[in-house]
Amino acid sequence: MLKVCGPNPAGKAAMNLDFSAADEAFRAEARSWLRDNVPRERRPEDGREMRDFDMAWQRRQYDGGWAGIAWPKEYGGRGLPVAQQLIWYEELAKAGGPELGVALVGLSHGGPTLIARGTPEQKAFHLPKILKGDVVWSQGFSEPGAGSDLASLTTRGVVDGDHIVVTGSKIWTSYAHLSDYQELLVRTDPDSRRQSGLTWMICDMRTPGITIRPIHFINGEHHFNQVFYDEVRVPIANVVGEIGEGWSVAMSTLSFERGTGFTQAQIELAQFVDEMVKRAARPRDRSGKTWLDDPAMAKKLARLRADVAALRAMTYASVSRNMRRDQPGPDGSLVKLLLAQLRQESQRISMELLGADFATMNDDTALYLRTFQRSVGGGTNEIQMNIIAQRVLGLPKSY
Amino acid sequence: MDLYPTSDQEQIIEAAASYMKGELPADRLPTAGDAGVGVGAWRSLAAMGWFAMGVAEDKGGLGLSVVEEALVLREVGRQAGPLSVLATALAASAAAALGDTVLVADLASGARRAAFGLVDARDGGYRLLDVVHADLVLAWDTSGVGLADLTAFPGRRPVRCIDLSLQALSADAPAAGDIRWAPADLVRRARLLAAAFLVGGAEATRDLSTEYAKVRVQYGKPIGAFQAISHACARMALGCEEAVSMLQFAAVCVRDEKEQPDFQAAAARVVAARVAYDNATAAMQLFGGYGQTYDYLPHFYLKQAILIGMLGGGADEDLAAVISVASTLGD
Repeated sequence: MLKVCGPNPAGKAAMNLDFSAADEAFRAEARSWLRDNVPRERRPEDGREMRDFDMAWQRRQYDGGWAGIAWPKEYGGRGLPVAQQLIWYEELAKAGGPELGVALVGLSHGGPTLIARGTPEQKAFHLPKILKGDVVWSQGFSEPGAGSDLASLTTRGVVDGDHIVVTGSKIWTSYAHLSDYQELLVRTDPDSRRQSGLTWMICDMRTPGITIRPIHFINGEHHFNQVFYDEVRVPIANVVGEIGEGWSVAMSTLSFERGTGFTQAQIELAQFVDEMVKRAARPRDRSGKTWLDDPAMAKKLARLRADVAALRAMTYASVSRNMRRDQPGPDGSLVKLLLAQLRQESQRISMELLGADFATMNDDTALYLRTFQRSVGGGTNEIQMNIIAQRVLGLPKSY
Repeated sequence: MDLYPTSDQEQIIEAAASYMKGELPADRLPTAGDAGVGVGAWRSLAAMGWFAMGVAEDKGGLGLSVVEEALVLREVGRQAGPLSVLATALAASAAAALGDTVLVADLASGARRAAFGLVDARDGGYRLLDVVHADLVLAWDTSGVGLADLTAFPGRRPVRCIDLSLQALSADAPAAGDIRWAPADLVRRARLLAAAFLVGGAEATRDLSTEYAKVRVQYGKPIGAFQAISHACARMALGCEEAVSMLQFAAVCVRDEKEQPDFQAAAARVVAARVAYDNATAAMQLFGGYGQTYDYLPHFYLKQAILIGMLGGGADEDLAAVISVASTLGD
């Protein structure tokens, strides 16, 4: 006869939402610092002012000892355990702190890639600048002919003495016009196909031969660009990893992307939905009726709220797994997929609640339009589903 | 903070999963008729402590928590197990809350068994589900969770359940006072455990679909190599991850009375009920013609999702509980 084991001697240590005394102390410290330091002024939407705002915020975090919370201590970061990273992002969101903005690529992609694969010289030169908010990085990966199928990229790099001469074009490059450096992935072996023969390098954006053409987003904002490279000479000393090993370097970048970094956005979403519920309880018009009196709207909001609660639970579950492994697993795609979906759903409901306000371009509508990039940027929903199908479920490759 | 099961919990899960797989696998259903679980098998479930797991030891239970109870019921749901297991586990908690230690002992030992009582909103009558060897009814409607003897329901007559493997009765409402209503907070436990059962079913249809997509060959390759199929499976996996995580999170909140447990438990059943239903229907579609036949398993999970989703007034009640709180983030 099978027997379950008796009462768990570990008691409440078994599956819990309790944070340790050290974690709680950390939360108190973070909360207090954020209360005093989160910028209160409005973040400019574009241009140099936006860059200055984001960099000033990064500098402030650096000066306060909060820059690079996940980065190893030896590279100037805080090297926080996963649970405290989670707490940091929760508190940052609750304090109304800005997102990484133009600092994103440096802190979440470029820097971590240098930590993983860079030379001592590259690390010593770039990492402190990134942490201090001195420089902006952009990502030169996608091309007009290479989006989801990144390995088909054709921007050419030709070795010429101690330089690589780059010719071609990158697209959807966020903040290229505001960036100092770029993580640039090019094909250095003209006879190579797919993932082989690529090289990952640090490109100084002031190098002659670079032309940046703005691409305006559907809400009129400018953060995307197409970048053209006309015989741009990049020193071989700027190659990260070896020439021809760019794909594996790029993949080490992507695996840094999927940790606790979604926490802030997800808490903001929960706050946004709570706010919508509050708004829906107020009279809609002179009739005094509220949106919550409408059963269809009440149900929609409730379903969304339950899903947002589940997203939070998913993040906790994913963090619990990440505490037990060196690299985040493919389950990060599940969180990204749900976050994108729920952001879009919440904005669609917001449109109904706002009524005529949605006729004008304002903060709410700009935000609504911005959510459409969530299911494309950083890997489309379809690519995330391919990853889940193949790497979580073990289904055969579909392409 | 840690939502990962401990090794003790993993043992509980493993024991439950292996018992269900060996003795009450979902494969039993197409040929099982509606005979239900025999007295001997029921006693085995009782001997494993499944019916009073979350009841305190001084009240005749096993003294584990609602977390362990949820983990076991998820394994029962995974094999489309008997609804009376869920009803009886809930009945024991209700009996404990009502201070009826004799009934707790009888349920825990397997001497008594509970069926679910679903109220018909149109005429106030009842549908009693999975009644084989049941002598007690766990009534769960919009007013809460209550207990009544089966014989208190007048005018009982057999009806065919949508799930043909379950024996069901139609009955009139019992006299006022014949249902003993449990304290209101039993509802959160009921929602949570119902969610657990549904989550197991949702995972089962994900797994059935994925396995089938790997072996069913059309146009010269496994159908799982077509994105229309692989993405359907990925959506099932996403739903499961959502529902499992929400279940674990809510279970801890209910056990530790933190983070608005009523909200979390209601959210858990909202998500679990949707995913269980969606995954079952997706599985039926993915199985093509076979998905339309009684011999294949997906339809059993669909019916399980429908029946458990209906309990307690169904999704509308859960959604009302979800929308009623002012804020979802705690402090």
